[in-house]
Order: sequence, then structure tokens, then C-alpha cells
Amino acid sequence: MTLILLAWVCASVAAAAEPESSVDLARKAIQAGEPERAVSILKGSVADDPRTRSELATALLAAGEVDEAFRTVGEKPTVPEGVRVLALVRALRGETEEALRLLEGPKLLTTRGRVLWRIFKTRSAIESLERAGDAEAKNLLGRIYLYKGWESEGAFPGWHEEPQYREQAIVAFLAAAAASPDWFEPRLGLGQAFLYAGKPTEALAELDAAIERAPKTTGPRVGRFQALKLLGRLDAVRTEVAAAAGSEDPRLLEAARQGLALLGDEPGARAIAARLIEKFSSSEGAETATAARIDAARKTKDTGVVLAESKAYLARYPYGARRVAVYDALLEAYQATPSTPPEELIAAIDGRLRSRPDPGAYVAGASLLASRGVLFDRVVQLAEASVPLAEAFIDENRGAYKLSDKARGSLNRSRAAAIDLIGWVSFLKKDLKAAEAKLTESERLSRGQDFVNQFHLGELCRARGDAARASEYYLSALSLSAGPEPVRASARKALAALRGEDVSTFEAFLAAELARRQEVRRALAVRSLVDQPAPSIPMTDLSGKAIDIAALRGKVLLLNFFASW
Amino acid sequence: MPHLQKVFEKYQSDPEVAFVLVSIDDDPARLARYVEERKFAMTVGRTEPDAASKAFRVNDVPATFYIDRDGIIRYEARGGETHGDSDDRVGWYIEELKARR
Repeated sequence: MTLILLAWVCASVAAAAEPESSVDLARKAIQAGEPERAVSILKGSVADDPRTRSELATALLAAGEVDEAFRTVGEKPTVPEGVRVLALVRALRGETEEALRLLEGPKLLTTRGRVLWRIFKTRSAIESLERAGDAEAKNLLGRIYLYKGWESEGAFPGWHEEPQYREQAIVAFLAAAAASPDWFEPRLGLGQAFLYAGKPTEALAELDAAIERAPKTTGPRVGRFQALKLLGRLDAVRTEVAAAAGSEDPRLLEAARQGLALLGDEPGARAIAARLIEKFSSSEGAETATAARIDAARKTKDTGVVLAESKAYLARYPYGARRVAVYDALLEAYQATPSTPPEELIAAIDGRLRSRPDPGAYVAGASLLASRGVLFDRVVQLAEASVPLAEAFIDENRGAYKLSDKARGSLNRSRAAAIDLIGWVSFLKKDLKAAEAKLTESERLSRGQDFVNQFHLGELCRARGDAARASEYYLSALSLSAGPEPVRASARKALAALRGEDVSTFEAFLAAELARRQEVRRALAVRSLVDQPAPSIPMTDLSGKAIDIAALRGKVLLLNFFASW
Repeated sequence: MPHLQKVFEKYQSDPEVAFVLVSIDDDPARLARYVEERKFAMTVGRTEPDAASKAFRVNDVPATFYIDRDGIIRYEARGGETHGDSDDRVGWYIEELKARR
């Protein structure tokens, strides 16, 4: 999916007799998804007023030339368009507070909404965009409602299959299309919405409209391939993908790459990726292809490749759209590379947080540093920062999206992990009392199901000379299936030392004991209560009065457990 | 959750059906806000997460149990499945249990 950084409405209609100004021509080029052409047009124009300069900055930003856009617009732009560009550059650099400070006032609502969405203040973003009301705002609203979010365990919400949101997305895109009929983005959005809704024929109509308006863009073509595939017209897909593959335009090549992947032709897709990276290295297609390579290496756990390619990506594409995923891959690879110097870890963690300040990333970063036994103050700082972030995150996104179970659970685990980390740092600093407070709090939050936390409690008890409780915690940890191997090895070693048996006796004991515990866990996991009497459970209503569900005997009862997060 | 509210409206005045929503929130203030925001009309209660875990083996929310007139749990929808709880499915369970005598 192409991410266009900026687009805007053609507000005025030029008088028929006058030639179109450079600005008008440039705007048309951007609406057609060709920001580089807009840049050429404006650079070729003789005008050098603030307005033209800020239009050029806008075009440069849309073309991915972030630093040049910044230089063009300068530190103190005088027109709203310039302020928008400056704010967006600041946001891209992770200077979100500065960006938001610039974006006050009715003319800057749309850009404000865009920046808020980047940092997942979704409810606030929607507020700004609803008030803005222009085509770009409507299109962004469409994307917010349509975008499934980040479905990985990185604690992000996705609305998944919520038809009501899709309906809202369609309404928003239709409004954007009506306000800006020559712009391809709303048509692309509609096409994608119909694809998600399983309506390939309707999707095709919209995607063709998008292609008509912007023949040189990737997104609409890939959408068309997806629609044709859903319609079973694979021959058409093959023909069109082959045609795109023969192009010299990197955007069409990228479409071909994604098309080949769609057809299951991985070698073909990789070949195009190689061509893009070699011949068109600064294109968005090359950027996407490089990120795809990193992802593939990550899946096959090829740490060396991940390290090399991630560093190359971040050097070549400092504002790349996929840098968040690339940073995540890099940090994962660092985790498997104990020799990495702490400064390098810190740089990667900071880079990741600047790219996107989500709570899970703070915890992951803190965790990585803690595992190396370095920079404890930083560990605590990161862990402590994550807790209010997670709270704010839930608040901002609860109404806007339905938090999926995975995301919700992930946020809770994130909170438990953060508190565990703070406790662990206290332990490493020999403040055992503080450590116990935090570690047990984390245990309650994670219901004793977190390996690292159970291990930490084991270490705490061992330090206090409580061998029995320490052993219990180590066994509890080891009976959980998760946990990094080096830490599992530490747990085994610590337990063995406590028991003081010879190796073979210990191993036999451990195997038997873990098998027993895992069986207990499994039995508990088979949680079905169907055909059993509803257990009694203490509960109170919101005024504190007891509720007894047994009193509802004789009625059909729907009992729903929920949480407000 | 929106599904349950819609279905609840259908059964609000049905004396043979009861809806009880139980929160495992540790923050009663947040829960109160949440309930108010959504204008829940059904009975809302609160319990400790441990109680929910021990009694109903609820570790992930939401989890919905459909209990018949004799107090036996006949259907349950846990975690991810619950989002498959369309109005139709919820209504189906209720009607099915109403029909059993």
C-alpha cells in the first residue's frame, strides 16, 4: 500500500482564458500521484514567493525528500502551507510535541489530525478531522476507519471485522471523492473498503477509477490485482502483472512485485525486488522491497542478514514508511547478539521510539537493556514511561477502535512487564524491599503466567536465602512455555544449585516435575464449563451491594465478563 | 459489547431472560465512567479477577456464559470467539435456552 505523505484539494478554478499557474499544475500532478513531476514543475517556475516555495516544500515532502522539504520551507514559514510542511517534518523526526504546537488554529486542523493519528491519539485525531471537513480530512478519516491497525503483539488496536467501521470509512471516502473528484486516493480507499467487504466487483470499479486518475501509482494497481484474483480471473492478473514487470517505472515494478507475491511466485517477486533495489534504490518500491527482505530474514531467524539489511535500510531510508518494523527486526536481532555494545542498543531503541512512541516498544527497549545488565536508570525511565502511555493509549483508542483481545491482553502484559522491569532494576540495585513490592504487583497483573516475572521472583527469594520459595518460582517459570533460552538456562542452573544433586538426578527430577506441572496447566487450560452448574461468584453492583446470580434461577441468564480496557 | 446492548434492548422487558455484565476492572472509577459513557441499561457488577479466574476460569475477557433456567452453563463464548457474537448468535443462544423447559 502506498503511503502518500500529503495531498490537498484544488480549491480554486482557474479562469478559462488564463494559462494554468505552476502551482495549479503541480497540484494536479500530486493529485495524480506524481509528486516528482510537481517538484520539477515548481523548480522550473520563476516565482520565488513564500507561497510557491511552500508548495514546492509540500511537493518535496510528498516525494519523500524530507530534508530538502525542510530546507525549502525554513524554520519560520509565513503561510499555512509552509507551517503544515514544517509540522509534518517535525512529526517525522519524532518531535511530535513541537509539531502539535505549530498546528493550532482552524486552518491547520487536518494536519493536526494527521499527526495525532501517527501517534495513535485516534480519538483526538478523529475530533480534529471531523472539525476540519476538507477532502484530505475526509480521506484520512476513511483510512482511520478502514485501516486495520497493527495486529501484531506490539499492543496495537485493530478493528478487525467491524462492519460498522467499514461503513463509516466508505461514507468518509465518498465525501472525499465528492469534494475532490480528480484525486485518486479516495477511490483507492473505496476500492480497499470493498475488497475487505468481499465485494470485488464494486472494488474493481473504484480501483479502475483510481488508476484512471493516477496511472503511475502502485496502490490502485495492486488493489486491481487483488480484486481480479478474488473474481477468479487469474489469467488477467498474470497478464497485467507481466506487463507491469516489463515497465521501467519503479512504482509499476513495485506493483508487479506485489502482484507476483499475490500469485505465489516468490522467486519472481524476489527478482523484481533485486531489480528495484539495484536500479531504483531511492524509490518507494525499493524501500518496500528492502523491508520485505528483512522480514523474510526475520522469519528464517537469519540474524546476520537482519542486522546488515536493517542497518542499511535505516541509513538509506531514514524516513522510510516501514522503519518501525525494521527497527523491531533490528532490536530482535540485537537480542540474539549479546556482543552488541550498549550505545548501539540505545541508539536503536531511541530510533524506534522516535519512529513511533508506542507503549510496547518502551517495554521491549527496557527489557533489552535490563537483560544486558546495563543502563539501569534508562531501564526504569523507559519502563515508567510506558505505563501512562499504555493508559492514554487505551483511552484514545477505546472509542475509536474496538481493542482486539490480543491487543488488550498485550497492553496488560505490557503493563505487567513494565512493572516487573522496575522491580528487577530495584533488585539489581539491591533494594530488595522495593523489588518485592513491584515484582509481586507484576505477578498479580500477569496472574503468575509470565516467565520472566516468575524467574525474577525466584532470584529475589534466592537472594533472601528462601530456597524453598525460590525453587517453587523457578519451577513455576520453567513450566511456562515462553521465555528466552538464556534465561531458561539461568533458571535451570539456579534451581540445580539450590537442590545440590548430581546432574542425572536433577535432570530426572526436573523432567518429571515439569511434566506434572505442565499437565496441571493443561488441565486448567481446558476451561470449558459447559454442562456444569454455574459456579457461585462474589460480585457487587456499582453501589457496592451484593449480586447473587443464583437468585436468577428460573430465567435464562446471559453472564458476560468484561473489562473497560 | 455493542452487540450485547442491541440484543439486550430486545429482551429488556422479557421476564424470562436476565443479562448480567460483570467487570473485572480494578478501578471502580474507570468502570463507572465506562458504564455511564455507554449508558448500559442492564445490570452491571464487579468482581475480582481472581474470583472470575477461579470460579469461571475467565482469564481473558470478554467471556460470555449462557446459563439455563436450572443454573447449568450450556454455552460459552470466550476471548476471540466473542467477537463472532453477532446479534443473531446471541439471540439464538437465548431463544434456544428459553425453549428448553
